[in-house]
Amino acid sequence: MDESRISELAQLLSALRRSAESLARAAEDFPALRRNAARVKACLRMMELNLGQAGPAAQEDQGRPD
Amino acid sequence: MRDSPYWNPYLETLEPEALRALQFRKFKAILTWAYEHSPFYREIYRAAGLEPGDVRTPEDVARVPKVDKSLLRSAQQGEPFPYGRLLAVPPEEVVEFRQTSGTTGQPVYQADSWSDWEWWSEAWSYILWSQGYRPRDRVFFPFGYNVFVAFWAGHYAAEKIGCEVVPGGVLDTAARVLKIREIRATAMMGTPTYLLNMAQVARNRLDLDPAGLTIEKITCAGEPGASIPSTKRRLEEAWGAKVFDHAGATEIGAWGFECGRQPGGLHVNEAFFLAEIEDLETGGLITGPGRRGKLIITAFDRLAQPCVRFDSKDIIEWAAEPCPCGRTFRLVKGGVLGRADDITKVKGVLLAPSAIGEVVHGFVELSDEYEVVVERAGEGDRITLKVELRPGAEGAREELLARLKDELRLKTNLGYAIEVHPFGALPRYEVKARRFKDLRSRH
Repeated sequence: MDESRISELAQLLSALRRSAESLARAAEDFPALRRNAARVKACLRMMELNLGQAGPAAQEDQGRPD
Repeated sequence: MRDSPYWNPYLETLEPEALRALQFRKFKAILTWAYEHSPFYREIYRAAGLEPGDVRTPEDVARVPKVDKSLLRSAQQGEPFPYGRLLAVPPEEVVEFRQTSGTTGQPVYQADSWSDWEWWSEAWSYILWSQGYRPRDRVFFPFGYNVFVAFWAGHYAAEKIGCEVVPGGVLDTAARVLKIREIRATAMMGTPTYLLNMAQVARNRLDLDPAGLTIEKITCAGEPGASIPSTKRRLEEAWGAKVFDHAGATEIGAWGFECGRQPGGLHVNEAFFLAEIEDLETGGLITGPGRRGKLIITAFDRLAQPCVRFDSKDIIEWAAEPCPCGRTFRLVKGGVLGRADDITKVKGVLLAPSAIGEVVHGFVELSDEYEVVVERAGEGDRITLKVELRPGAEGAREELLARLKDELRLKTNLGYAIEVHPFGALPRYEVKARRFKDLRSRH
């Protein structure tokens, strides 16, 4: 699989990550959204791993519940 | 929609050089994470005079201290309860508790965050996809859903793939067989010992031929049986299904899998794990095929309770040839060949108990069950093998025993006292069998 395709997928994923982070922050007082956003972030992390991403930036945000 | 043979068509076919580079990047990342977040790892690295920045080349990885089960166990004595100094996330981030089986002492508790739990099922998704699990499958899980990790992640991976999952948790063995028939399950998972036992219950108690049911594929774990040709053959014939092996452990994760090509070994998921093989005597690393050693393993992405250079005690060796499936993940030949802590000296000879099972399961006249007892006899050892004859095999008893003794001598270099028990007399096991009993320390 060529690297340009991976990079294109990584960009789409990065946009999703930003949206999920924004949603989690905006929903701090809304448990039903905040907790589900935590699970979404854990799924996002799996997609990042599947694209070969590694390192503290990906690891430090592990879809924490709060 | 095109159906890729790979769960991850990118990482599973990555060029070896790129894969090694990715592994090294990921190793440094988890080493740094463990050092910065787990008091246990920080202590052992500081005691060794090592900081994450000291690992500059792949060769430096071997400088990182190893850990083992006893170290993990002792690190769990302190706070925060029950994970102690191993824990690398705040306790409120732990969402799943599991533990090791405790067969070698006090169990190790395993903490997983949401991310870790997703990671478990992700690793299992590589396994199941490679073995042909697809959304059309109805997967039956005949195991006790409890504190042991067993097939939990297999359940969630099957779900992630899109299979229909059927939990057979509290049913007894006969009820499980009947449920498979009733719902026409196409796949299942279990330990080789238990799945052979299930087949026997189907035949003897329910008068059902398990090969006539709808199971097409079986994934085994927990014991090496599915990589032992004679045991795999028994399972495949009993169930009329393809049988695949997989290797993993509670503290590590699901690190190895047999793909659909059944290449006579397991692929290491090298995108998620670093597998090193250490020579049992010299402690040096074995990088090529043909020599057996101990698996030292790192899980790159497990964060709540990291697993960095864990001495698994599993005996493995690299295969010489790549797998025809096209994956670049390396193969270990013959799967997990035994455990370093199971290998014992009997009559001065090194014995791996799994070799006895390989011989017994090669005799169609013998049942699936056997037991090995080693005792002191005067100044030496006596080794007794207890077997059961299948119904109808009585006539060939003497000739069979002679052949069995010869095969055992050939395979293990040892002479055995053979005890033949009536069919059904030896213990049956639900999960991992305990067939090897070393009673020498009791004398």
